[in-house]
Amino acid sequence: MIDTYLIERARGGDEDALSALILNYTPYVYRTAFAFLHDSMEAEDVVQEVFIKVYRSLPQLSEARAFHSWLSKIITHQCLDRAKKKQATPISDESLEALASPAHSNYDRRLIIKEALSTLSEEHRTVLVLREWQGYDYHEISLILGIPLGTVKSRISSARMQMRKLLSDQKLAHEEG
Amino acid sequence: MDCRHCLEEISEYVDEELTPWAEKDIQSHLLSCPECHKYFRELKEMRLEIIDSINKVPVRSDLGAMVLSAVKTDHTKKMQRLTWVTVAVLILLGSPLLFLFSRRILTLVRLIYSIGLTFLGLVQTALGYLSPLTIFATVTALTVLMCLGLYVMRGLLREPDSREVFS
Repeated sequence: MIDTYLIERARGGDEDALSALILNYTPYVYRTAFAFLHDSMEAEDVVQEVFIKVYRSLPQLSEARAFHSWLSKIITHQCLDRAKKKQATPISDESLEALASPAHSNYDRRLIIKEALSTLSEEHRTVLVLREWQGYDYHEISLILGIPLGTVKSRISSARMQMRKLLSDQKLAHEEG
Repeated sequence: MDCRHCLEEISEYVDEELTPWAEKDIQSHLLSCPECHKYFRELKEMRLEIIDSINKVPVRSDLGAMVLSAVKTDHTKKMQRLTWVTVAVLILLGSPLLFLFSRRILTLVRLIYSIGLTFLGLVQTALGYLSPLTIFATVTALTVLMCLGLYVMRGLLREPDSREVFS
């Protein structure tokens, strides 16, 4: 939970508070960046960039209570910028087959969800992460991505359908294997 | 409501983005259709599973220390930049005082002044011979160079742009 006192102290220039804040939030920032980018190196770079921005702009944050949503915004923009710079890699048939194959001897649902997310196209993964993990509503997602509300709706719906298909294929493959 | 219509809207229903009357329509369909209800449950479970999967992404233990070190390096760079700017400002402000106390500096300034004056005289003479188009092109080129120089200086000295954070 957000420690507003800690944030207030960090805003006031207390280095210990800032360090504690960074250490507290590093796992959350990394996981969010990883969910967007599915690349551990890129995610680590994003974590550093995000906290440098936080350090530079923290005194301008109007309210300590707004810290979490402010941080989420910074992470989102940083990840979207990174994703834009990354060359778009189309989903290969091999990766889809690999996901559908019963390679995971232990049917680890979490790992399968993670792989299914990485198999999704970047557009679909982005809207799912924004909606399911970061909890933005459709209007906010439309503003963040600069796309019409109707496109957000159809993109989320189609991303979910794809996820469901990937997961049911995997489940089937596991049952057969 | 039929199943096709329900599947079109079910994603929005899960996200509570439907209007109250559309929500009621879909709720009554879900009560009567086991297939659509199964899909609805799967979507709800998928959300929890995605959250759980991201929550369990392993984080390397030294990442926090790496970030702290990066932030400290940034802080040091910022302080160094600040020091250089302060030194430059002090030199600019303090230089007239130095001139008051040094005859040699005063001689040097006189020399620079006379060179500048000679140069201006030459420019004035050249202007008489040059066509208006050449003068215009020279002034434009000098203005562009000056703007470029100012832009580079701004880039070197500027603070982080808060707009990119708050956008």
